[in-house]
Amino acid sequence: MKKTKDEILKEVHRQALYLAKANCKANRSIKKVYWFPSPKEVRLLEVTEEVGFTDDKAILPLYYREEPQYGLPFSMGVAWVHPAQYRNRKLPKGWRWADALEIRVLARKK
Amino acid sequence: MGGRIGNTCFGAEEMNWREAFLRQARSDFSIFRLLNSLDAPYAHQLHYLQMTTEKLGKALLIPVSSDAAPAFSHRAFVTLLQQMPGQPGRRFQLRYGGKSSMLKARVRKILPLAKMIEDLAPALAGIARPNPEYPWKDRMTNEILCPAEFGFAEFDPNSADMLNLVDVIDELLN
Repeated sequence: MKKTKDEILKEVHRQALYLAKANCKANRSIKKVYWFPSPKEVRLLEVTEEVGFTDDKAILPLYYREEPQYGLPFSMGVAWVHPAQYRNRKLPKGWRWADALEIRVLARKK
Repeated sequence: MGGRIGNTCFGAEEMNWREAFLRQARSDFSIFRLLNSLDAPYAHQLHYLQMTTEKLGKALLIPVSSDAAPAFSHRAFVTLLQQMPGQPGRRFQLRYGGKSSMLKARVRKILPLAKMIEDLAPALAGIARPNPEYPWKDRMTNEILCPAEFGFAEFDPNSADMLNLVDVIDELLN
């Protein structure tokens, strides 16, 4: 039976949470994570000082293939943006701040 | 004479931008390996290594299954390395499984060299800094220098970091 858009979005959200946790665990510099819902792919914007300032006018995510064998059935776009720049850079096509949800990853041990 | 060769003949599957950039990166890397085996002037080896990293990075700026042309940036490769430890699929591909800290330590070691290689792109180096493709004018001495006769001492081909970086690129392209 064909899945509804809501069902697909729930699965994308589950993968977004999994990926956000993996990203934050591996890169402690990530301060905030935003999820941009889309049934096409996982879209994450991660705020981190590790990228430094850039001259890019737009936010440029890196896109990764789906890898169902590792629990990642949807392809993924992950953007890293400096804290001072993430609000004033143009989002990729189809990403909208109005739809964005912040993902709060569990508090980390100091 | 122009035209297509190889698997783009009749009936072959057409590739999108992402796949085209990945294939070109693999080809650039094979030429880097070839030049290295021939002990060619180091500038030419570095040039192909820099182009490999640039095209690999640009490939990943294109959404999967998209027909969109690549975004313009010379900075994607270093971000790719930085994001690697947080990518479960990449960790398994590089045989680290769930151990992001070990991959992170490996990436941390090669990141400064990767940034230097990224900066070798002529668009970033300009005409006042060394790059492996075009002559430049040294800021300090005002001397005009030619890459083919320059040593690129900071990019020691036998250093552990360089060997490690080349291994990572190889693994990412496979």
